[in-house]
Amino acid sequence: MPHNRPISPHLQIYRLPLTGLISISHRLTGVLLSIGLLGLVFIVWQITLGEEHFTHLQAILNTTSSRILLVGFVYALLFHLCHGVRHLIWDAGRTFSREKLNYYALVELIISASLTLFIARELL
Amino acid sequence: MRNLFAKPHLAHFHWLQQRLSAFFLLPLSYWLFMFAERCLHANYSEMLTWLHSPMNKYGLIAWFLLVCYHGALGVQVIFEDYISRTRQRLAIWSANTFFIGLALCAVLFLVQI
Repeated sequence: MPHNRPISPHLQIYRLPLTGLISISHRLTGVLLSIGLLGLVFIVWQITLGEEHFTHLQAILNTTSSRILLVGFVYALLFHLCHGVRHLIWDAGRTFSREKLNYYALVELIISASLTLFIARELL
Repeated sequence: MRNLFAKPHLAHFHWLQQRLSAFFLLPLSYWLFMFAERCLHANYSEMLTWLHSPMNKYGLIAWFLLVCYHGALGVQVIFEDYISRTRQRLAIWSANTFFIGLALCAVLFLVQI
């Protein structure tokens, strides 16, 4: 068997196009959001424990590092949401041409970033 | 598109559940953001008043339930793609336990508030 047969593009050598990067980020944000869910359930738990626990938690949530983490969570969620909407559009059999894939990849990034800015401003 | 709800094949069912949960999670995100805003700024009694309103309580419960289901379906696909056959079952089983546990905790906590 000769050893010079072509192999499939390797992830560390092949530069993923924007659409590919977004696709893997969709999975990555999905996993990160699942881990973040632990934090959300923890917050709800603290609320059931009473006022003292809640005010203590609120002080922690309002620190700069928590706020950065929170904005990160919001961005991950909105990015995942925007890409999810594109999946729903693809499921309807639309926007599959190469130009449209690249175009809407950019649109999705811009919309998720703007929504994050808007919601972060309202939240913080 | 025409046969979207026909043919109850297992993979097709998984795909459909993933999309349906995503679709319903879109509007439910509203409650998550409202909740987050109150976590940061409301005092305890304001928080309780907000959570005692049935719209908010059940909106948030619905978000937690659906998001756990959506997450379990998604993580299953990732494990199927990246984990070898022999360890796949255990990995998916663990992920499902994680999400069922989270959903149960969230609902139990929210109901008792």
